[in-house]
Amino acid sequence: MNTMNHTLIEVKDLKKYFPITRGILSRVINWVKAVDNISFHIRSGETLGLVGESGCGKTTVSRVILRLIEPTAGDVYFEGEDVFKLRGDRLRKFRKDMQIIFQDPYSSLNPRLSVGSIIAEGIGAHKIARGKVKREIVENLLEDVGLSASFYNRYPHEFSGGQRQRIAIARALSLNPKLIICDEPVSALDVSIQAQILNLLTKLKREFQLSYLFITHDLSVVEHVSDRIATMYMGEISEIADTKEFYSNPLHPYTIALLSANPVPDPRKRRKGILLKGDLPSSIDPPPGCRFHTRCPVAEEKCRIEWPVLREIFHGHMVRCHLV
Amino acid sequence: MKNYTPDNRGPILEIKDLKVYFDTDEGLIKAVDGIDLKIMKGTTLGLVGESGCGKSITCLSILRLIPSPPGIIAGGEIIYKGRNLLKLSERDMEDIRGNEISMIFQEPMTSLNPVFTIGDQIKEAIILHQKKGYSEAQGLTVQILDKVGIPSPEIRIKNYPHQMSGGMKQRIMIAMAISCTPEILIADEPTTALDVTIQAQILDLIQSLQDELGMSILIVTHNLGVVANIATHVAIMYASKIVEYGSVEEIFENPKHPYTLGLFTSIPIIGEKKENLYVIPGNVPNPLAFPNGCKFWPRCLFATEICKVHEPPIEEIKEDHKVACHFKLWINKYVWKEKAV
Repeated sequence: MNTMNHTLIEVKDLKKYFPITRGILSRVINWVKAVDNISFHIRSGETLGLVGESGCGKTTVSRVILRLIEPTAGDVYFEGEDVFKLRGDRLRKFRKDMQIIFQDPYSSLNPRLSVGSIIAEGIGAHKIARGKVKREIVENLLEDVGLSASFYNRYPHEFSGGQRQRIAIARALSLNPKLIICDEPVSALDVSIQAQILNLLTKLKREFQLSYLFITHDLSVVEHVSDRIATMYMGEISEIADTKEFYSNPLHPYTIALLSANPVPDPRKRRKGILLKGDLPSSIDPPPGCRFHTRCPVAEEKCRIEWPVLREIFHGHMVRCHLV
Repeated sequence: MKNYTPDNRGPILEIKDLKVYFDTDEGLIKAVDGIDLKIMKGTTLGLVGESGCGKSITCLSILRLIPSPPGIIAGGEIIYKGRNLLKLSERDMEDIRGNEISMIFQEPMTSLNPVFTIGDQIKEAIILHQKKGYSEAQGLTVQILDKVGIPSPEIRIKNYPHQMSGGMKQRIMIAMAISCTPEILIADEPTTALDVTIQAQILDLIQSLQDELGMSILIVTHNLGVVANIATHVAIMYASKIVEYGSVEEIFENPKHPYTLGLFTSIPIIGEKKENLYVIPGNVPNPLAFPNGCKFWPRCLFATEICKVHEPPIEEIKEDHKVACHFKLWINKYVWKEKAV
């Protein structure tokens, strides 16, 4: 069986709208279109980077895929199975295959549980092992993520941010998942710790044959970890391409703006690119036409009226822009 | 972008052998332990370091905002316009704070008062320091909001902080800080909580205000990209000490201290993808138990016996470049590469 390169997860026309209600009857007066018609896939062993500004919907995508919240419309297929149709045992098995690492290791670990119990929780819940065997698995995991097995009985407050993030990674690994969603896993960490965690994620990916959906806003980090990169703007994917292609030939004006806004650590290459004006518009009433036109430096009349579709420009390079 | 020639106008602020300690139940924490810094008039000094190295404490001591107890300013001088700020009376300090030296904090979300309109918060400083009447202050506030790029400022002046986005709030913080045209602006991680595109806007704003008002800036950050973009000088701080100082070109081109070299090689850079990033071995030392000798030696690739005993002073190796390392003369990025890779 060819395990490399088959499609692990496929997301099709995914939508998630949150209702805005008013009055004692909670009348729905409007919708926040957090995720609007998103499609992408991740192959086995691949890392897809998902980049965008706060509020663009990247975290909502991850929550919907994990079935932590239910979608408004659309399908997600995990190894060919329709995730939203799973019930009972099949759903439990699916939950094992997909795990998440959160941004802030200070709030994602229960302060009342020991490190051992935090990591063992999933193993117990899925009845994988008990007693001594369970403890052994957890101790091995602690060592896999570069901690000492003797930390088993200690509590999260005794650890630094980087160590806590390692505990969160061990917890995500405990059920032998196929896909790990990394939601800004290094944004809260110091530069030198960030390098440790990124190296660890690279190492684990190889050892455990993992795939990652790597959500971040840091364009240097995402280049380092990803095989392909997608940018999101106001609930839509605006560009998706192989990492090399993404950096050498960015096509969407939003991608170009993001890249030019990223400060390069070299005083000879001071930023002098396009400056995006203004903030993200409200996703309750997204602008008509292309959603980016209000901030786009090259927008034309057409962009204000007609909504662009995501088109394939080269092999695997898709862009949502009239002008490309 | 900058057309100041650094150094020819003399320092506007000079920190000499500053020591700030905290007397806690667990013991004495030496948060800042004998640092020297100079900010030249009209230039921007970037203070770089990881959490807990003492960079924010340095900023707060300039404004004398260290809570005491437990904080103690154990020694040193901060000379501003010929006066030692540490010796001023609280009354005199109030005239300087927010007026001649002002500060922008990291989290615009939590540093604005939620129960006052943003107009009232900006006006407060103007009325207090510039002795203006209410309506005159109102007019000035509108002008300042306009200057920091807030659209329709006459309307926005009546808004509360929760009605604005993060980027807007940071603009408000900047508006507040520049409302009395300060000589020195201290910016403590001003863009860390913001998105990249908003970060670029804010950095540009700070820079254009500097060109217009001729302020000197002290910017604290852990983002080397931000420093490279905005600073004229850089000071690298590690465990309560400045380990390297110099012009931004010199530090990025010719870093000398092993910690600086480690920091520079541990960040991913676009276009230079590699399998593994360099990792500085070990962890930041516990401030209650700093190692003897050079504070970096347990993590340093070049450490020898002398480093464990004798703390190297920060010394000039050429004009505008100071390093605190025993082997400053022969360590450079080439020697480093051989050892680290």
